[in-house]
Amino acid sequence: MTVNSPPNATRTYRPVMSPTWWWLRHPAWVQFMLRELSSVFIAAFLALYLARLGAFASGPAAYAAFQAWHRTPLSIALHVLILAFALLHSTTWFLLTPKIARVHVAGRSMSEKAVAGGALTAWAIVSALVAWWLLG
Amino acid sequence: MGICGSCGMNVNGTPRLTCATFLREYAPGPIRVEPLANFPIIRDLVVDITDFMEKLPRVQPWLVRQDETPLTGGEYRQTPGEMERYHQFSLCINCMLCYAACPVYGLHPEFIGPAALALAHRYNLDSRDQGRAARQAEVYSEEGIWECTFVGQCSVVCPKKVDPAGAIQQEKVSAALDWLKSVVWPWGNR
Repeated sequence: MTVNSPPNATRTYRPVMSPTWWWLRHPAWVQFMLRELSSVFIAAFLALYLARLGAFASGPAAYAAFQAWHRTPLSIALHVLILAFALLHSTTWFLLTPKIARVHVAGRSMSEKAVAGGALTAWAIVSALVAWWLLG
Repeated sequence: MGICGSCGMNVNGTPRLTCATFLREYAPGPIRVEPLANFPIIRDLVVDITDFMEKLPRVQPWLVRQDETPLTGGEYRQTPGEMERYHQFSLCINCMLCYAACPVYGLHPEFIGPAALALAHRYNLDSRDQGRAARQAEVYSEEGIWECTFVGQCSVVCPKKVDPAGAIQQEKVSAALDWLKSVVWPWGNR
């Protein structure tokens, strides 16, 4: 019997994987879906930012109304959610960076921890600088 | 142990090599042993791996040469540094735990899959190989690297730390750079 010969039984059973709910079957898949979902909240933030620019261009009254909406509990809750997903998005991004980019230093490849650690550190430093510039 | 790749099964929902899975890890239990996921089940814990056996040769997992030097020319030589570039991806034992862990393969069985694509990457990185263009049609296809959504579980379950997810993303970078070169420098040689 060769390796590639088909099995004698002509019937095989293939368990069905739900196209909608498959990701609930394993915690790692739930994390993956949350990671992918985070992009939606990044896009939502960008949309809000564009709306802010539009309100700014429309004059003081429009901008004041826009600011007033941002002080509502709904807006604050939405922005907390956006921040949480933005942090998830960026953290998972930099943790995955070493898998995509093989960094060679002095003829040897850097370890995954070193690449991810470097990227996360650079992100923290740049974020701190931007925060200091905007808020300081 | 952990080298023939024949004993892959789903243990408590996770693909494992059962020769390296001990009851003490799951004490006090219970423990659930199922056939390797995403493959048609023939009977009991036996699955049909024909699909993988058909896919593997499609990526041409061997050295492809444009110019063959005669035997009198000696071996195709390689430095330790050149070997290190692909060594990790050569460790695959074809156990298919990665296929069992991949939800994309479960939902879309036409996906060529992590192990086959990691092996294509291993040969694309080999300095002795000249076959990246030859593999392109299969590897850079819709059923190839572009079907992957980087869930990453294949690399988590791999018993030999091959990192097929990394291999596929690196091939995506190569493919994107190829496309960019073809747009910016269409008359250039590959």
